[in-house]
Amino acid sequence: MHIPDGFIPIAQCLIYYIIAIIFMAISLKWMREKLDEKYVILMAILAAGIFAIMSFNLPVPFGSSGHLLGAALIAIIFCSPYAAILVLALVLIIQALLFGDGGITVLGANILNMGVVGGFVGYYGFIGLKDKIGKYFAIGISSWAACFLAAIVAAIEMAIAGTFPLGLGLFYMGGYHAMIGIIEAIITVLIIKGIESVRPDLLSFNRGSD
Amino acid sequence: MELNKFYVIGLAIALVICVLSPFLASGNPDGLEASAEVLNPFSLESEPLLSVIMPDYTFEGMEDNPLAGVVSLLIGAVVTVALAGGVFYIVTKK
Repeated sequence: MHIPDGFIPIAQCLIYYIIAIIFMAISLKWMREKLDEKYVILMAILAAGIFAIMSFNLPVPFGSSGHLLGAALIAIIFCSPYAAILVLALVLIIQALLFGDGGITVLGANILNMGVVGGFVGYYGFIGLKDKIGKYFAIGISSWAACFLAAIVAAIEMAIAGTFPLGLGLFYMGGYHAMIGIIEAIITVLIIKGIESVRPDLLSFNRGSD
Repeated sequence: MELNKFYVIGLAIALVICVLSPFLASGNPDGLEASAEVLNPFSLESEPLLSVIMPDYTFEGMEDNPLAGVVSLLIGAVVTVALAGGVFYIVTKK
């Protein structure tokens, strides 16, 4: 869902940059105050894992494909949407600057959609659902919703930009990412299950209040 | 599992994905491109503003060689883990 250059007019790009930078500043403050230094290595390796898996598009019906975004994964592992914002921002900056994946003018919009929307939906979805439907169903549904709603927000930005019509933009972006979200849900559940089976202490929801 | 072993395995999985991806990943357009093909094909002709060293996860003139893709992804993964580790370490360090 990386938006390329030319899809959003510069003035609107600036607004998305400002919003993204505000969230990144809040996230850096969270990291400085709340994240224990000993989880830095885990977060860095997960960032590299997300970078790698983002290159691995899997096919979905009707001629499209998609990959993990990973914001819900990070938000759930570290119990914080801000962790997701920082990891996604870093990965998206590298993808834009080294690989031209996602435009430079729309980097703020891409961080806003995949990092901020993905991180908050993943985190609050998980927190809201886990006691009602069980941990793994909550992880699956919230990571699906993180992907789906990031696409919905992108479709709204495209409509404001005049690049996609609003109704059909929501229909196509929502439809494709409803399918891509299933990939997001399965991979997120598998990774968290994998960590839970070998090092459950690394999942912050297993550590109580820290 | 010992923590260092866990980290090594995690990083190894990421690097293996980088090696496999150029051979196995789907070449279908992603959800946004597929939407644009229907809704506004003209938008897909817009050029990137930045000229980057590894456009589309390959090197210029080697677009047909999946090994160029492997190398560029491995570089990307190493840069990501190093930059993330460095930045996050500096931020968390009291």
